Amino acid sequence: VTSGSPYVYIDTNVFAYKLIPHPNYKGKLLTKADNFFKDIVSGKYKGVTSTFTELEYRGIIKKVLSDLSNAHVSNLQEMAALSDFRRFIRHLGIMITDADALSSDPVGNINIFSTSSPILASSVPSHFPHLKKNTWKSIGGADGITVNLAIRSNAQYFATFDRGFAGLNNAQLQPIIVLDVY
Amino acid sequence: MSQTLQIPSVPQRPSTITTENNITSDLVIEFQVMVDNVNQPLNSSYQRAIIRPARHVNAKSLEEFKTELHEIMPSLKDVTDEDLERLISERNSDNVDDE
Repeated sequence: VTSGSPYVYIDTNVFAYKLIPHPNYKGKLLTKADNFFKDIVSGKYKGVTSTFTELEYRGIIKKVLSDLSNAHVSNLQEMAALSDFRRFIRHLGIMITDADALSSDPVGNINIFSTSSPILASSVPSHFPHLKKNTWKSIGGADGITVNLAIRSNAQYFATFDRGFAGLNNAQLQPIIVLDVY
Repeated sequence: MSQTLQIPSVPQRPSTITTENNITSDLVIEFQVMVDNVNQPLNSSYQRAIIRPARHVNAKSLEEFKTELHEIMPSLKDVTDEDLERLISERNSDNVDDE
């Protein structure tokens, strides 16, 4: 990792597209996720994510694995998926920050929610007329908290597949829409 | 009749807090949150909330990584691109990539 490289906070969906097994490893989403992670390995960016990302990832695998097998996800499958997630982060030298610790100001007052409101207020919905549906995209409440955690993790960039973040208007954090950049 | 307004004192955060994080228990159990100076700008304190810092990795790290899930759930190999995209996109309605 180059010491001068900027930090990029990695959203949950980038890990999901990379880690959930895919036929022949040739899909568009996997390719784009892989190309992004190559920039982490090369040192173009230093990766960072928080414990909140693991929480979101766990939510995704519960639904996705149950849907794929048309049965309740087993404890073994869930643990394997979480193990993949943790090993991958460790494997690529991605920094982890503690979302609990980042939820408070320096004297211990929890303010993660109130300070996320201005993030949403300043963001603007983006229009994607070439899409067949949901042509307007924007960030939601949990997304605002995620952005706040990224800023508090001292990231300069935010990598995500979610085009709603294209309208993020924040001087401290610039979105990288992996779907469009890679 | 006068009333005395009592304002509870706000406990100061100790300079060093050691706690446990069970979420990533297989990686790092203990981490430290250090607040050296509460008057510092916010970011300088938040920097200390690091469970594990970034580190340099081998250039082949990405290619060498294999998932346990694939071995446990081989049926996933039959999932199509469209299935995967739909399932993950359902995380929220704003995340549908329907080009």
